[in-house]
Amino acid sequence: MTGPAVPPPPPGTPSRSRRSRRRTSARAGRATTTRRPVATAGPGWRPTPAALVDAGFVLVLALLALLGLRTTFTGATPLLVGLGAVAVALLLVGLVRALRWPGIAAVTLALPTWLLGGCLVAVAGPGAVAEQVVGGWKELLTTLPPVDGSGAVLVLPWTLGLATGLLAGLARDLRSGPPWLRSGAVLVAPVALLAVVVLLGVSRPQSLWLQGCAFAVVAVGSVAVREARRDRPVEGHDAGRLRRAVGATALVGVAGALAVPLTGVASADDAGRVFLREEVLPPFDVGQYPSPLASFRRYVEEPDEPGVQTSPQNLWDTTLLTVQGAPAGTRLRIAALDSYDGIVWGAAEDTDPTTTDDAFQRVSTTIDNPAPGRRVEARVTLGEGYRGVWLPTVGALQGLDFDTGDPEVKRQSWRYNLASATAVVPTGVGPGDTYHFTAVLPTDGADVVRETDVPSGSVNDNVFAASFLDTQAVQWSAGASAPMERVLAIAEHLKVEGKYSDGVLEAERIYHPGHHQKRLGEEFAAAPIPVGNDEQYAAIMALLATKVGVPARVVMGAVLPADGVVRGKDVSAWVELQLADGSWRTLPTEAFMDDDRPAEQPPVAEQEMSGTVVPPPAPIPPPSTLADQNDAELEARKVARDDSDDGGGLPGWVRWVVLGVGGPLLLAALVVGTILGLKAWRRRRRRQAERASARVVGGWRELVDHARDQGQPVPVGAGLTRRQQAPHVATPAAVDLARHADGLVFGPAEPDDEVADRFWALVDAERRTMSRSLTRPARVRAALNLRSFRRR
Amino acid sequence: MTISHDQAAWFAQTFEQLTANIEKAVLGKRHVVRLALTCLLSEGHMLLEDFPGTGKTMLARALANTVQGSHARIQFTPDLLPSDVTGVTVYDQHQGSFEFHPGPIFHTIVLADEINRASPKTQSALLEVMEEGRVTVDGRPHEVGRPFMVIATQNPIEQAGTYRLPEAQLDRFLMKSSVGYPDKAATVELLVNAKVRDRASLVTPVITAQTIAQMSGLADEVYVDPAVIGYVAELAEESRRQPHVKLGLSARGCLAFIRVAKTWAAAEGRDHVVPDDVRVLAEPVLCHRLLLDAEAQFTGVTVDAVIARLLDVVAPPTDRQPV
Repeated sequence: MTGPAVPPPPPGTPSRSRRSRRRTSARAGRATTTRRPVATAGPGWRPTPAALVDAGFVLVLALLALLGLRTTFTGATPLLVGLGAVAVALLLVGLVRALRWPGIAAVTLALPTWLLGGCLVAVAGPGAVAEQVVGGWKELLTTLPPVDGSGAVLVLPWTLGLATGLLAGLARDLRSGPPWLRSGAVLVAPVALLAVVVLLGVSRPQSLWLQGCAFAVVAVGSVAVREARRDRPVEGHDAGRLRRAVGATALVGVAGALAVPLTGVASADDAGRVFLREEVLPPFDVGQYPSPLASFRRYVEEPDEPGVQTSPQNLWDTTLLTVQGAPAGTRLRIAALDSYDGIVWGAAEDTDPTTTDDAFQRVSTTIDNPAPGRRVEARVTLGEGYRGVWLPTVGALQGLDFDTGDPEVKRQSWRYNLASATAVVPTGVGPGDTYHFTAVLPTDGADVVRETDVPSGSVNDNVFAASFLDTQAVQWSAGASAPMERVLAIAEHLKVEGKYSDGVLEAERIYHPGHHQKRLGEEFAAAPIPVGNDEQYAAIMALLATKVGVPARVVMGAVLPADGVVRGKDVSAWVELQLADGSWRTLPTEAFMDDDRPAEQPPVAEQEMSGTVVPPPAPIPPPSTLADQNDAELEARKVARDDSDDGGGLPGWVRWVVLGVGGPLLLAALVVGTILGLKAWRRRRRRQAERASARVVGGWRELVDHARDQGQPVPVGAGLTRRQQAPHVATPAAVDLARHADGLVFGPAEPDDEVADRFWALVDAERRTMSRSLTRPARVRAALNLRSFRRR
Repeated sequence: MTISHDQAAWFAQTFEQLTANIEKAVLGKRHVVRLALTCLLSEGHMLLEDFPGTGKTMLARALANTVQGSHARIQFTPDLLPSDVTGVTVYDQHQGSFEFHPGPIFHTIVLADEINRASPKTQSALLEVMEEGRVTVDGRPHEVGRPFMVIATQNPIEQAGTYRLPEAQLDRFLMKSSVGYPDKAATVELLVNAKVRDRASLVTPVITAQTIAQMSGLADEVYVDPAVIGYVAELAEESRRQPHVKLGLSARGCLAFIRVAKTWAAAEGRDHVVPDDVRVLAEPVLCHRLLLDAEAQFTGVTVDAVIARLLDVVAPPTDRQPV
């Protein structure tokens, strides 16, 4: 006979269970969820009004951010593509949410969507899309805005929009962190988009203030709506209201703090604004091309002497180009040469420290180049005598497009230097090519230097290169004090004392071509009578002006004749001087060179020095002086330039190795990092749940997920309990752990933090035990296994 | 006050002792034995429905024998009268007064064998005693005492000459279960000991009626988290929404559910109920309380399928109810 070893509780004692039943009868059932039968209901396809409102806010914010692209691109297509991408990404996230898939599924779906959409918007293959997303940013930043908003470049707004929509959509599902942070999390992606658009923008954006303010207002509105949607606390109304108020105020502050620097409201100009275009230098070296000034003698008249064979390359009477639309007398600019290395005046970049525009940048058919003056539209047809990389233009270009001669290739490759107002086509131009452009010409006489002009105080390296002219700089400017006066005095001295000779006549062959230091020093400045042509005069004039403190450069071009047909005889070289405001003024050739011919007999002094008539040694020609541009050489340079230009200075094979190996490696690292990061984030969220019992529940789920990732057939789903799952977890302690968890969760006493920590310690120990039983490859596979993210 | 761990352990130990005792007579039917004991300790009544010769009566008699108390067997037949169950008032000529003669219902455990063979009038005579534990004869109530348990059996295949139990009567039963045929090992053991004609006689009383009452009191103190209560409520609601179900789980059924879950948890040595208890007990508690419509018979929908669907549709709680 068995009796009760433990006495039952005294009758009449109110039990906790009864109290609990009474207290919780009203809210019983809240902890359970009802899954509809598969046959009668499917996933929640219809989005909730809250989801629609959040998506609307994201779309509006993205629209406001993408508006900044209208100065970066031409047309509205990039904006529409970017906005469409945001919408597509939000739909993807909504689809994943309706199917109750994990967030990683949205990222996975976004990849093929991005590729497919990229192919559609760019009308190109997947390879081109991938290449564009890698190298397109560099191309965009090194192209002078606005960039044509069509073609492969549309991959960039498509990518930006898709990433923004995806991040914003996923951020809406955040379940951890402070509520105010969750309310503002949706803003992170649009704000990042705004920042990227600003960084990709131009130095003179339009309506940035309005755009920034509107963005800030909508952002704050979004947060306010999400804050208002949050459940009110059952108790402590005042505390909840105060907390929300503080949170909302903080969010408004953050939004304002973000909006103000982004929009440049704090500063009256763009001096303090950062945009990547200013930081990124294009990988283009104009210095690789020969100086056209060095081959100036191609344009001089050769004597018609019996027995003397004329050079087949002489272009004196050959039509170089025909210009229609520009008035006669306009200075046609072929090349601006602003760097002297002791051998030759050549074109270089970044020689002007006062501006960042001194670089040959890729440009589209429209150029953001504000300049005062008269607007003209001209058309140029290159004649048989013109061939090279320099593209003749006039004034300050506003836009240019090619009509014939493989225009698409030229359109993609041509570059323009805002500071020197010259253009190059790296692929070369030749006879028959036509193009048209819009330019702003200075009003008559406004571009010619005057004695009262104040020169720029900047100094460049040309000063050191001109040190061999110290004596002449002082002697020839004697009596003048101000820099500009000294320049004009030197010009006057040259014009008065110097003689003109192309050095082609039999008696004048002693006047050699070139403008290296020996030719300009010993054979010109130090000679009893300086003799030379445009090449020597412009070169030494620019050097002497630089020497006396006025930055100068040599410009090679032509003054347009009345009929617009430019022949070789029209080509000349003049000097431009920089003024204090950064602008450049012309010092015409006539100001420092006369056309007086020297005496037929060589100067006596030279005869006396040598004693006999000794032919002067052939000067060592600089490399560029040999560069009479011919087709073969130009083609060779083009190939070399293609390699260096596209690869950013790296050899082609290195680029392909980097792309072929580094790309997949980077992608693999990204995937691995994402998976590990998501698992770590999930573990952290479970371990740091607000309530201790929820931490215990999370601990068990972590163990189950660990087992599933190891390939164990542990069933999961809303209809299963821990005790049902435990036998499928291949560890002896699983059943005890499940019972322990049930006891902590459903037991009479609410577990505290210490209990939850102890349970997690048990779970961690069990996970380690399970991992130790696997081989290393199996452990790696388990770590990367996505099975635990699936619900079934 | 919640049942302590020591009390729960004692409860589980005693429960196990009772189970082992009954298993001397009913071989290989541990789960049904535990259900019957749970029913007894929850102060409920049990309906056993199975084919002839499966051991329904054996189980009832063994259960009755294991408790030190009186027990009676009533063989229900069509001509059985209510007074044959409850008792009659007889005029005593010597005393010159009416004297009540208690019927077989006045025992600790009553075996109502083949209950569906009695007329509805006689079946309904059990309503009051099963619900309230007393019998009213000639306007005078007579208590049957505690513990009191009715174990009824019925045959599911011989329907001729039977009267189906009304829903109100079915709802009085805490559980309905079936014994089922024994497995091979149990059958072999049964045959080896064939010389024992009455296996129920092997079961001797091991517990007093007072201890049974004390165990019932302890089971009442098992803690049920509101989340689990909500789970039961959700099951009840969902049972009423299921297609082909004409009658779902009643409020009395919900109360019964919680009561047996508490006893089952205590029998497991726990001081709290877990959702698994509810799931294990769902079938014996629900199967006789769900009434299907006529269309269900044509479409092949059974009560067992509906219960399985219920357990699949309603997700059990994983966490306790936040305070």
